[in-house]
Amino acid sequence: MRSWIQKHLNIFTIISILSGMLIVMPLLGILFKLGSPSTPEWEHIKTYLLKDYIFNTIGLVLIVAIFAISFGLFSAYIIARYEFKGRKLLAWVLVLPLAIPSYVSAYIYADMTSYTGTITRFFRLLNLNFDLNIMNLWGASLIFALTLYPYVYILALSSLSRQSENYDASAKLLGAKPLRSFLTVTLPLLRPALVAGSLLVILETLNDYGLVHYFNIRVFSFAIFNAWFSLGDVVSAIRLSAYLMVTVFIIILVERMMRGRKRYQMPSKQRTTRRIKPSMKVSLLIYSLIGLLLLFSFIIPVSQMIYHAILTWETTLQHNLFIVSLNTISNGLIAAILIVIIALFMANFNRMKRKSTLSRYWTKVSNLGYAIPGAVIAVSVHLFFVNLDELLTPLYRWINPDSPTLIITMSLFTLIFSYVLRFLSIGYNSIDSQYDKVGDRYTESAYMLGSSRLETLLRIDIPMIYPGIISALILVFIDVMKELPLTLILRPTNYDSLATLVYVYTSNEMIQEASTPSLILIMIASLLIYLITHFKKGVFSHVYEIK
Amino acid sequence: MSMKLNNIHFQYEKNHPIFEGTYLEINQGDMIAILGQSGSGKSTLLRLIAGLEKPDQGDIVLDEVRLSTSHHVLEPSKRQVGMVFQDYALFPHLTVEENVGYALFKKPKKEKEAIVIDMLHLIGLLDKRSYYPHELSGGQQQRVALARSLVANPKVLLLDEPFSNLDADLRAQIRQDLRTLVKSRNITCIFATHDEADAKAIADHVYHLNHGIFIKKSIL
Repeated sequence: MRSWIQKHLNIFTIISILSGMLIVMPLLGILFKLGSPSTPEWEHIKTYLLKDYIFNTIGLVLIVAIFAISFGLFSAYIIARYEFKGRKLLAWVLVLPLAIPSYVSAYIYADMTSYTGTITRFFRLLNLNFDLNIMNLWGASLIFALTLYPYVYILALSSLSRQSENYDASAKLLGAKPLRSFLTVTLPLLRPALVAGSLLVILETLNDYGLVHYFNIRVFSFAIFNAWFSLGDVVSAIRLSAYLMVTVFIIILVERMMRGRKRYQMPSKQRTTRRIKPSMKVSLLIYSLIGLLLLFSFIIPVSQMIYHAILTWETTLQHNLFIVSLNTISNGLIAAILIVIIALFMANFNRMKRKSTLSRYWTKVSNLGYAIPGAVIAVSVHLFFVNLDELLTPLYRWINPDSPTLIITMSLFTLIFSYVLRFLSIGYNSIDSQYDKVGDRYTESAYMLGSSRLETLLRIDIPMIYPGIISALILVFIDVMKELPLTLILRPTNYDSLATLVYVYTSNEMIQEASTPSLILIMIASLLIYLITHFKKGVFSHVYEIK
Repeated sequence: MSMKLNNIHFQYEKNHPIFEGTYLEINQGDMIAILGQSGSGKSTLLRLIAGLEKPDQGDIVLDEVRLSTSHHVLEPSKRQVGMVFQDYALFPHLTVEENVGYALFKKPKKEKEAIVIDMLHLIGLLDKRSYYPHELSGGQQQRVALARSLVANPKVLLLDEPFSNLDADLRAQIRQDLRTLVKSRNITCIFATHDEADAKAIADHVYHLNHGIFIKKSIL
């Protein structure tokens, strides 16, 4: 027994199990609450609203996925398969729309297409009078796709850049024309990348509250907020959350089952597909189409924001913008560092016990957060900490008889905790995939030479997997900075981040004033995107390779 | 009936020529081994014949048809040339049956199925028809790749290091199977290898490729 404990109980196991438990417990809380008796509000939602929520959500998610796959796949194919002037620049610039939160782009486009907006006025100048209303399901879908397509683009580009050139050559030698070769070989081999990319797009869409609230699109996240804050019914919010959670898991499960025994990659040391130099005509077409995509996804919204910021800088700078920016940066940093530490321990725990099904599932369950929309996590974390505070109230009162009861719930700790829960999988996946690339042999050599596990982690693993750690830090930081629903629900009183400040401005129809905080947010995120696509051995190193 | 490479010049990068005026003539039905070190240009030679690369100068002629010149390259799909790559390049998302039948997309379904079954029977993998490539051993994958190329009835078959991924025990058997299969169809076969034993075991003629510049014939 003692040797069993010595073998299995170490700092990696303890931290992995404890952090996993902390993450899983709030989510289980939601499922347990499902058995609560039905409320009149739930009956009302079920009878009159639920059908609309379901159809709108499915419709939105499907249209967004189709648009995002089209934009992402098209741009990835061009960058991966053609060699033209400006390719390297476009390769990372195409990621920039990810710096713009969907809700910010939505506010800008809604404003530009309003009666007094720039686009409508421009058309009026040309004597074209028509009502361009984008505040509907199609408009929302297009804006989601324009800001989220980089998820598909990055993964498809990575997959295309690594595809062995022999697949395409084989198809050609077996009589396939380029279109058949693309449809029967290149595209099916991209399936995991396209599925993973569109899944991220779908999860981000389900997570959004800012855009759907502003456009009044009645989808699940809208419904959860509405049940909780307008109807004051937490039980209905929990039920809606549980339905959404189950739906997301069914989508993931069905996709996994559909793959069956198929594989999409075989180990090969062969050369990857070389890029071809396009003709003048094709080059012009490439520049026009990519230019159009960048124009609508990044250049137009950012230019409009800069214009608005110039108009309103005197008002917006009076606001505590510095403190709010500092809040956002410190939140992002704390969450990113915590996530990297936990992810490092978890990735090691998983490596040490690779053959154990239990540890594999434990790691997977602990990383479920990203699949669960922010509103659902907010409900679960809030309830979890309210219960914990209730449990600890006697202690609070013993220390200070006048102490409030919801000390942890109303603190910044809850917010940071929810960020860790939601974004852990992003950090974990970056680090784990880097571990996969490096392999186990260096770590095992260090053990054989007498290094302890912790010493090996610090002296061998970290210097070797640093590209994964940097990616994890940057990706988590960007996500935390843009995050709205969690921050909106769980932030302490009188606490603002850049995202919530933008939300507050736009809720009060002060779109122009929202531009300065939006621009700060976009500038920081853009800078980080530049870093992540340019550091040595970074995510784009294979894209910049000369072929 | 023969294949001719006339005065072939080729380079991937400026001032790094791989071929500078190379000549080669192969008779119909011959089995030729191209022997050379890594980087000597063996694979490039095969890629030029397959139409995957364009020569900078010179031409490649098959049965009086000019397949490649410095101005024009007949599409790989129209050259009647088959190729088995070093990594086999079996499509991982398709079953054995779908891989072998890939070239037969213009044939009616029943005819296609009959041809594929015949071929799988010939290579002894009929019972593995619904397997995916990753579920097969290295030797089985190699046979599927060969079958996939032969099904398209090529006049010339190119093999790039066909035995490099196989265990020594398996090599001898596969080498003989390959020779029997190719000879029975009277296909011209060119295979690139760095292993002299492989070359001598199955080729009618062995050519040494030195620094990729010229080809010297040595008759066994």
